[in-house]
Amino acid sequence: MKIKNGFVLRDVCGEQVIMGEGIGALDFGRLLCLNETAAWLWKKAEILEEFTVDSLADALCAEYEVGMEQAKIDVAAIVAEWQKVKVVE
Amino acid sequence: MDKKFFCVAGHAFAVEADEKTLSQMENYAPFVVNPDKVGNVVFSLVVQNETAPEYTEETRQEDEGQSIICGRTAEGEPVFDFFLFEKSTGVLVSSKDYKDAHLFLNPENGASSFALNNSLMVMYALSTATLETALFHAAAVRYKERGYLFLGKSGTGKSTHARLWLKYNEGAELFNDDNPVVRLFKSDNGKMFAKAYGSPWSGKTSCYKNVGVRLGGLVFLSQAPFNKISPLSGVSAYAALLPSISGMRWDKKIADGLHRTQNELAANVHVWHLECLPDEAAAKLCCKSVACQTIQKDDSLILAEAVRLIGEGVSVTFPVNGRSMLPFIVGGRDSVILEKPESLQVGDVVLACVTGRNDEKSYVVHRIVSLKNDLVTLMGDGNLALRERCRHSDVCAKVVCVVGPKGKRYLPGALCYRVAAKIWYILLPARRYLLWIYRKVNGEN
Repeated sequence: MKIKNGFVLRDVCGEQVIMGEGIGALDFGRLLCLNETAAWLWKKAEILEEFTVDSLADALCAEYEVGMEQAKIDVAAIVAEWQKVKVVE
Repeated sequence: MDKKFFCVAGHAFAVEADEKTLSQMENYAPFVVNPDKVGNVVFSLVVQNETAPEYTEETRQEDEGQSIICGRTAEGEPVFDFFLFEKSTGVLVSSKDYKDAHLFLNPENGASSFALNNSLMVMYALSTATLETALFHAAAVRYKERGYLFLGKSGTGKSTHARLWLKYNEGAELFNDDNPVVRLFKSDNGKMFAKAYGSPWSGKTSCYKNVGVRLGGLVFLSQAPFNKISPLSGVSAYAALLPSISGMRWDKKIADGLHRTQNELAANVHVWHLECLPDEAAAKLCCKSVACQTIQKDDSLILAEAVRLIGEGVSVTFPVNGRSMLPFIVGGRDSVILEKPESLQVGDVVLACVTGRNDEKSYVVHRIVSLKNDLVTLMGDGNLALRERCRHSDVCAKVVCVVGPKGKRYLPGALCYRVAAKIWYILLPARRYLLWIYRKVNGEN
């Protein structure tokens, strides 16, 4: 999986927001507010380029004191949201 | 070939073209400047009657019989092809830094002013995007030395609403009907403010005024079977501005610049959502709400919004104004964090809505000095010799924390309140409320 071309994370008045800016993402037509965990995962996904729920969960475990099982559940939920609004492919 | 200089919202640009083309630029007349007085230009445009280079299409925008095809030449230079009723009127080729551009007019199509106006708008928007400047799609009125911009999708009734202002709000004046410019500035005390300017681009209305006025508010319009106005803040304010700012966001530098400007505007300028009918009541309601200039009224609106957020379980942080002379909160430096009160105790510092003289309601941040049944007594500033009373339900929030300059936190409850000045008011500076960093109390970390 990877982040679709043209989607960026920006700081909007203190909130972390995904928006469509690139060609192909211009018709996204909405702003997606992320909580801190989701924003952290997004930035990780940007670095990884190609990612999976497992690779993001690994990263989450390395950074935060959280069990692998819980991390996978959290990451899967967030990634499912991203898939639902089609910002990843 | 002849060359002329123009200055729009303080940004100068040059146009080189044959005499006939230049003489057609009547809408630019108020913006002509003497070449000697021009320092830097943001861009130069050369208009030619030659065949345009080949390009590859990247995307296109269509709107009411007009369309712009955006693409690139083989060398990667940005290209904009302006179509009117499916015929190309001219092709604009810009350098990658948007400082130099050529417009190749289609000699078979007489709509050269259409191509020229669009080229200049595109070049202006792109070359100033990194200069804290935004070209808006809006109708703009001046009222009591403030500018108000009405935004919205095509056909929402921006112009209609502006007309209603002129008719029903005495003293209102239209200064642009389609593409005003907004610029951000920093005042001496470090606060951001914005100015709105007229431009040579005013849609179907010939209203080409070379004026600049302090921006009083941005009003996002939508049609409704009733009239209702509400303030927007944070992400909602940003979202309301997004479709109204011209630019080419698929170029990262442009996108970064426009985002910065838009973010500052959302944080420092009043943004409103007006759901309205095309009638007199809408113009009057809007004017009454957005044009109230007294700080007090601004503040009560700001606070009303804060109170609403707190009620939703959001913890709200905001800066304290410099005039407030606080015992341990230093105005202009400290912030307070407010949360929904679970229980109240004597000694708590709270935000409460109290009724003062003239039956005017106002918000104060005071310490509770006594609690009797439902009656809460707050201690006012000694100079004002006030002790306010209110009901339990009038207490909107509790100050849970004071944040100092380096993020150092103090707990108001932990401090001895028998200091000389026990009380302080939070005089909220207008427009800062959008800077609140709020986070959901129950949100994940």
